[in-house]
Amino acid sequence: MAKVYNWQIGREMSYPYEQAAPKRQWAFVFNINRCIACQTCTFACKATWTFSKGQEYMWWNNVETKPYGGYPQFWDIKLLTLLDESHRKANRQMVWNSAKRQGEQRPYGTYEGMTIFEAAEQNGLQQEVALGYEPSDAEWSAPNIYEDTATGLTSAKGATTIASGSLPEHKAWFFYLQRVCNHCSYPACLAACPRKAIYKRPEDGIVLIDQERCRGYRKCVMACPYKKSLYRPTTRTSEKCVACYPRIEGKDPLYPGQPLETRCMSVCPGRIRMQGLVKKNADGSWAEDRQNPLYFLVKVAKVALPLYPQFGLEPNGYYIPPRWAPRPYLRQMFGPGVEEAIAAYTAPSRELLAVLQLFRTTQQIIFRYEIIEGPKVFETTIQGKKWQMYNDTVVGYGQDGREVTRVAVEEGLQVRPNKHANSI
Amino acid sequence: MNLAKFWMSRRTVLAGGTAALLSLAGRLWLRSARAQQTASGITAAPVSRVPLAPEDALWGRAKPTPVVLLPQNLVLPRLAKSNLQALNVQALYDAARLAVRLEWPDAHKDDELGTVQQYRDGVAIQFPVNPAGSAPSFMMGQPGSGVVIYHWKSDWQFSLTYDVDEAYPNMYADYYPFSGVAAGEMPEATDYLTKGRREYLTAAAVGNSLADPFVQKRIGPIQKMRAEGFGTTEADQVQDAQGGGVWSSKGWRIVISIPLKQSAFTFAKGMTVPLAFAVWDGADRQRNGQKTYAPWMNLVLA
Repeated sequence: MAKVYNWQIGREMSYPYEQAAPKRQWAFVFNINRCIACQTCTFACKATWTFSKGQEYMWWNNVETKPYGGYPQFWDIKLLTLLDESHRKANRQMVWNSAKRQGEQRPYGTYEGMTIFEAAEQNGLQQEVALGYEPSDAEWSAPNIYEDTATGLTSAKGATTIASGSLPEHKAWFFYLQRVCNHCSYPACLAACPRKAIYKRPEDGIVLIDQERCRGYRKCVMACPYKKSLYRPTTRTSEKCVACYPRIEGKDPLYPGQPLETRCMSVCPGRIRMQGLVKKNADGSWAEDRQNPLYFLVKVAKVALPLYPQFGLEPNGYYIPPRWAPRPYLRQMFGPGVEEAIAAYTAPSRELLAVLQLFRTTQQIIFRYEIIEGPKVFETTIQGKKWQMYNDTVVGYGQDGREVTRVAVEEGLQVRPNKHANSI
Repeated sequence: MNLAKFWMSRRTVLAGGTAALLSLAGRLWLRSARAQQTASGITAAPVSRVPLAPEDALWGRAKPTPVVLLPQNLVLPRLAKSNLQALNVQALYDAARLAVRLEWPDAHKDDELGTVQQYRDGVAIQFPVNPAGSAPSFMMGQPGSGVVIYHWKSDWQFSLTYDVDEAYPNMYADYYPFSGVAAGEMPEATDYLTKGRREYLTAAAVGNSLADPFVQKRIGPIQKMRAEGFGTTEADQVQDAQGGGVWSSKGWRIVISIPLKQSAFTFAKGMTVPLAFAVWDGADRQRNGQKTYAPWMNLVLA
């Protein structure tokens, strides 16, 4: 295997192909704290791409309730278990060395365990490119299983509590996890396909299955740790999220020539989602792009974190972690950046608060933002520290530099005139 | 599109560097394998007309040759072990065609691909595009030195339209837009291709033969393919195989009948052509390189 640099785990790792970074990378930030699991995203996707025969249980977008929910059922716990077994056999540990945090190339420190590619190399005669498993039909068939099911588990012996507790960490808890394909920098689906039927586009990093070349071997279904390659019995091939690529290419008639966010992003009523394109260097790192909102959220504010970075795929979806959930669980899911991210979100900086307002104010992809400073409008204390709110205005610009959105921190007040009383 | 052009034009960002290395490993392995296999061979006996039926009495005239099968554990993804040890091979030819009968034990008939866990049984024979000169790698050939593969697929013979509603007969769906059938009715994949919109049977719409039951019906259960290395298998433009087979509790008995005249050479009396084999057991989730195989053996037309 070749060696590639994965900045999310802060080190080089094994991957079947050499580094070949796209010019720009499709990426997103989801704010878990705001999600109400209305599934509008899920159905926007379903109504656009997966309403045909053989796609009944194919949800390119899904929202599941953690810790018990999962589509397919227990996908993450099953893979973590396999990965744990591999570490035990190799007498190694799935640990992070946070002392090694350094700059943008090691923002969370170094993961010293094995990725799914490295674990697959460990177990005697290597049979697969990546550690994985094939979920059964039954596991795919209940996408919203354990919806809203909380856990009050307080010990490994099964003791529970119904007391909710209070912030910063609830005792009984659940949260929603929104999932689409992460269009990973080092996709396991692509790595595992023996026919090279899966490719990553150089212009935007979107990962696609070539439906002409696919022969339905389901190696991608097995290898993708996030389980976002899915088998379709009517075509006997596998299909996956296409990142609404016609919209990314500016082919939606709504805004001709302008890149639009995907359908699942655009419809989000909870305004939890933002998707864009980040610039990449040839070595795979993110090129500095200070005024790109995704660059700011991930690299500067460090408020959004990758999902299971230890799997080693460098996923391009980033999550603002739920601030009420137990930290060990969140660290397992999002890595060692959790405390810093939650601290940044709980008492947001003046700039972060402004950038958070950009979520879902336009369907057009925001490539750059500027902030126009406004007056101080509020002051309080958060966790013992003074915090001030300013009514700044944030302006977003599209690919061609034209303004696509403008929004203030404080929502404008609209007074309904009397003549409209009792009218709809 | 030819294979060389395919590799040049493909928009893969992550270009493969391992294929050449694995091809070399395959060739080194081939040397020792060939030394073992040249001692044995398969003899095709002449008949007036080759039978297509696997139970035809004419097969009594062909000498059965047991062919040892090995789990493919040379390239990823590998098969560590298989219960299948050997394949029984017989061959007959007439003035126009060569027929090979292949028998192997298989306790399960796997021909339904309606769920994520279902994989097909299959068998394939392979020979060089041009047997003059040194044989290509038995592992699907190599760039510039390709192989012809005839692949029998159980589902193409028995279960062309088997999908979700056959796997789950009590399923209900209220409406499939663009399927060509009314709300409340269950469309078949073929409805999208005749009455509905093709693009919603995506792989079929872009010409993938594995997704198009009409193409499969026209070809029959045996697909002719070309390859120049791992992962390069493509359907051949010419589809000229006949045959098929039967399953019993003893296993599969399959006949693959092919024309003597191939694109670059013609099978002829007295000729020796290297022949390789592969078997997939669907119940063991075997597919792609996870198969049992036999490297080149000599087929002699007596």
